[in-house]
Amino acid sequence: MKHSQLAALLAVVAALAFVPNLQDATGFPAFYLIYAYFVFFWIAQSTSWNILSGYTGYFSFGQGAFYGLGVYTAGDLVSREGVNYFLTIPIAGVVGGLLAAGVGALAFRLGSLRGEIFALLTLAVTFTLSAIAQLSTWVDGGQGIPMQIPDYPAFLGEYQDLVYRLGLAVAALAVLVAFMIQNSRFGWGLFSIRDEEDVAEELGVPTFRYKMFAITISGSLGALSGAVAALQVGYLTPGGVFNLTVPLLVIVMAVLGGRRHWLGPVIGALVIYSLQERLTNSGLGEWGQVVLGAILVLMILFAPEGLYERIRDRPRRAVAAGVTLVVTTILAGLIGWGIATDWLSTGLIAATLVLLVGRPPERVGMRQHRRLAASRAGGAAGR
Amino acid sequence: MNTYLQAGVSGVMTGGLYAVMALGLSLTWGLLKVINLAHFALILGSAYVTYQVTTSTGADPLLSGVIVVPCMFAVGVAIQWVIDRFQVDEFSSLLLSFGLFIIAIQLISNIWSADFRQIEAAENPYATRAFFIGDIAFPVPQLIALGAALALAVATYYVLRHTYFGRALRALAYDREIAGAYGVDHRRIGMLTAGLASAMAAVAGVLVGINQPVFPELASEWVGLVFTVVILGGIGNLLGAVAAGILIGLVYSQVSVAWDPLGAPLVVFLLLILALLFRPNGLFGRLGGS
Repeated sequence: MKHSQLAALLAVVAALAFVPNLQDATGFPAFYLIYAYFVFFWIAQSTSWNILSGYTGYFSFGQGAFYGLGVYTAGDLVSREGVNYFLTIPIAGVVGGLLAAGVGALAFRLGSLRGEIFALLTLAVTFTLSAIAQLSTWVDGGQGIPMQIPDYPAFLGEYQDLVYRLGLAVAALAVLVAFMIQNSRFGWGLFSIRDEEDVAEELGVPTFRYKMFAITISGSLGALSGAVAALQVGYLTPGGVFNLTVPLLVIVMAVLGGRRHWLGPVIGALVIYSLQERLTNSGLGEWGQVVLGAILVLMILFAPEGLYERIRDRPRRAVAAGVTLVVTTILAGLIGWGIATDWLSTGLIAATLVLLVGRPPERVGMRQHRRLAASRAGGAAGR
Repeated sequence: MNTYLQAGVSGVMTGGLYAVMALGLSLTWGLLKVINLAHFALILGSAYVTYQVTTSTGADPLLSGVIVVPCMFAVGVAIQWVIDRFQVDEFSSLLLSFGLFIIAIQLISNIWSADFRQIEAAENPYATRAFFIGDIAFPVPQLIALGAALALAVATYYVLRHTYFGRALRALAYDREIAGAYGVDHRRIGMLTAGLASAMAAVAGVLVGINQPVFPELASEWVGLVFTVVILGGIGNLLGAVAAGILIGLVYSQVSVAWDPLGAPLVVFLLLILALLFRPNGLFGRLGGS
């Protein structure tokens, strides 16, 4: 099972890596490569977030810090210091890992640290980095930095091919790491921290060390992906890089897709990015945030487990969603609604709705829990 | 020397505005275990409504409080109803209200655009007025904000200490089960508290409206500052929040003068990090006076 999943994952990545080569033969527009790149970017970011926040349960609002650090590391080193761009990617990974380890070393030292304090702490770290970028002329100084297009060897093909393959490589690395963690002793340890940290500690899980590994890996991947994203950003400003968009989107993606499995953020990233694109292409771009916020609210209230677990726990519903995806995509294509990515977005949105409508899968203890809660509420009313 | 003194006075009074913003947030977090990020959106929304009412009717800007305070009270009650109905825990409330925050800010931006909006000086009788003691100016809008912060904090402190509602609320905060056994209705008390907290957001919004230009990004700028005030003041400790607001206002203004205006947020955020790590219960303890 594990090996077949791994093989399938590697096969998909290998196949995707050859897509740019088909461009000459089929002549599809370069736009699709850019679209795919952004899906890869969001997969990498939401997977990075999920390794820390989904697996350990310590929610972070600080993904923007890791992302922004990666963007600025690459941007500053290439545009100001003239460093070879390909060197800056691993440097960004190291810098991101160091920042994350620093945050973790401070935060996790305190046994009494509660989840919401950690969440605010990560938010404060993002604000602090943004303030430093504003202030320090060495980083930015408030002027913004135009990102130079770096030189690269000719065999890597067109510029968008390069961006596409780098994005794919980082996304594949992130997903592979998430996959391997989930199927390892380390991953079980993280899950036990999420479910009941005190018990895990009692049973001998080295919770501090595991949390440190998780946050370091997460920060490193977030910054790696940021360094690649610098190629697409063009012009870096502290306000544009360290804003709430990245943390918002990764949280919505992981919550929608599911936080307990490596596939969750992948599904979430694909659906949410497609939805955003669909809204933008329909001229409803200014409603994008409203829709995202609404998805977050509704998911927290009605389906906190996410899409992945719905697919896994309800096979018939999953098949129905799959059929909906294919049929709606083909229908949208036949009607000629926008371009191919719009067809796919329409199919994905329809399939998501099919999965989400209806009662959640009943789990053991759920009914009991509800009854208990109801009796408590009744007792508290005291009438 | 006068520069520092004037900056100090301004800082104290700006701190009063931060304190008004922090009161409602601190109240629901400390007593209902709800971290309401949407609070910032309610403040901003109230500020925009104040702008709109004043600009359309030419009425005194403070009068728009008659509209926004009851409206925001209702919004607060509604949010708390949802949180109670779905039994959203402390942590999920942060995510839920993050969603509401994003929705509200985008709606504000869609309605009023991303540009700066400010009540015209002709229609804002408070904007340019100031008292002077020597060379030191005390701008009226900020004095009103500081006064409102003190009045609201003292009034809430009194209510928490000396009324049935306040005692019931504190009992719920300590132990919901036992309080329930003694006949405290957590639903009604919770909704009333959330309504009051949101009404405080409305007050803060009106004060923002008469004090400064508003734009959608403003809400995100408040998040860091106001959370610093809430944490330093002690979560649920409203008098502490006023003291912390004034402290943060002072630090902000003195750093701006002595070093660099851009350095002020940096110092405040570092303070927030230090407070979260080493004084998560604030400088004066949580739920002070109880």
